[in-house]
Amino acid sequence: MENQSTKLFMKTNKILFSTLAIFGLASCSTPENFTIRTISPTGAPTIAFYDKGLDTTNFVTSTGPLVLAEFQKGDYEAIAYDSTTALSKLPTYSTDYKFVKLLTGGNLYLTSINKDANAMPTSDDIVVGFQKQGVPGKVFQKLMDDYWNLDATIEWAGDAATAKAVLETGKYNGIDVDYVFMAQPALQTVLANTSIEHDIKVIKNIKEEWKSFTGQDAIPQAGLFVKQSSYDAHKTEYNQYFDYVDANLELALTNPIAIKESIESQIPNAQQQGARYGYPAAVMAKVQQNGNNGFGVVDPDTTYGMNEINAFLTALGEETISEQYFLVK
Amino acid sequence: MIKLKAFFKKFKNPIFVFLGLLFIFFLWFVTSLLVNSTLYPGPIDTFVELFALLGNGETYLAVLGTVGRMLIAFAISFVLGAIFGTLAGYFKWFHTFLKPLILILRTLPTAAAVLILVVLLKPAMTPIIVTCLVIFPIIYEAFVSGINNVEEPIIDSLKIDGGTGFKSYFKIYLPASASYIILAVVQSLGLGMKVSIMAEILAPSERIASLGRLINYEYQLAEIKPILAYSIIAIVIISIIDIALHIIRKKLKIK
Repeated sequence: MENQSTKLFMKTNKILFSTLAIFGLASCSTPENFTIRTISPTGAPTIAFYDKGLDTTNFVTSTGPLVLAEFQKGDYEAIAYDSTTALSKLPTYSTDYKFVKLLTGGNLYLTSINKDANAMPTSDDIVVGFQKQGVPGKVFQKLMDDYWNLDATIEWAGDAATAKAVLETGKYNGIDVDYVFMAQPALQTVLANTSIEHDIKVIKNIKEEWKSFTGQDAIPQAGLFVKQSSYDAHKTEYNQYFDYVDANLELALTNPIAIKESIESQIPNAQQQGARYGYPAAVMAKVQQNGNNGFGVVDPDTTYGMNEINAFLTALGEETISEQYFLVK
Repeated sequence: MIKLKAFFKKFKNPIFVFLGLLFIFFLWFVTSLLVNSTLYPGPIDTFVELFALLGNGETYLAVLGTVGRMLIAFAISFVLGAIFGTLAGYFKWFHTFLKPLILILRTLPTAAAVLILVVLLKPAMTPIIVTCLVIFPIIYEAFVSGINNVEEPIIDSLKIDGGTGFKSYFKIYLPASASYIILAVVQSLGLGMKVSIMAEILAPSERIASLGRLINYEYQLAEIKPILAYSIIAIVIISIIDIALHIIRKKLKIK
């Protein structure tokens, strides 16, 4: 009995030692694989990662608040999020995310319901906007007050999805609506809906209106953020990543059909495309085709950094952002 | 020593409640240190935020709005629950007739009800209707149980004395049902507050002042401290109502 126990003990020790030796050798010889995991809200910014439809490990989509929370958690190497909102919050976070580049710069439109062409809101009209405290809401309010000088009542929906529902039904909280402030690609989805009985017209491109008002080329929306410390430790990988994003943005401007085909080859079902990206591939192609650029994709060759963002914030009457929150390359 | 013992005996319950509260704060404090993230603020940071919010007029308007709508919902549910519960208590066939409806109201996913109602109703109505859907079954069942649990000898006496009419309801049945009804009221108010705030969070509107809208706004910015602070406000309000009801029960000598 004692002999058997001793034998078992010796056998167990041999196995344990061999296993530890294997792990030890493995840790010495295997190089660390560094991957850049990205998180983004669904919607326009996902076009910069269109080829990652099936890669749910390295490209994750989620709701806005959960993505914003990641700036505090620091689990992702890269985050795509509304640039000015994130920049205003970075000073309060202990992580070291920095702004790299702008992905989208204006996909906002003013639409009318059952109105004449180009008719603008009057004091009797009800206008529904969204994200009152975010960039869309602030830009819209600024244009209403200081550029168009309009006196209409603005009702504020929480997000673009709610505004989309308002445009589809023509009602908000039981009241009839005359105008809706909308974003692409949700707007295109509504326009393509043949069951809607009321007449919808797109009367203003907010990006163009903002340019006429301020001279600024873009309304900073989705931006890309990475951790400075991680960038400093893996510059080669990050610079390759930035080139990859630029190439995708370029393709979104020049050949959205190629992006459509890529998305469809990864995820054939349109509903599943919508769940993954925030839009079906066909809607994206329609919005982007013929140089329309309804997503407001920023040309990767243009510079849109600290100076431009601060000029935008100044135009809104907001505090500017310190250069320490912009990536040092 | 004897004085201390007497003091402890007299205030035993409040002392243990206080110790229980201290324990909760201690747990919260320790776990916040372990998690060490701005997404899980500790009690000190949260209370600093709470005092900042209490200095803001918007907070009081929101509290008034939320509590007001919750009380309206409670009042509607109480009246309907009393009427239908009494009828169901007296008439078994009516109780059976309402069983499917009560079951549906009990099991209906509240969030789904909110999302359906928000597109149909004006902003202030959704939290009221949803809260009614949740607390009506509780009040209803309290009246049914109260009436059905009146002791047999009392019912027999009433039959003998010919007192089975309207007056006997207020003089006999209702007082006998008081403990069931008071319990249901306490449960309803707490649950009603939770459901009302949830409905306001799911369907916020700039048109109405509400705690839910403020919580939703902070959630959009991933700001957890104010969310916790608003939650503490809601807990305090319900605790005050709870204590008030407890005192009323004691004064009326209801078990």
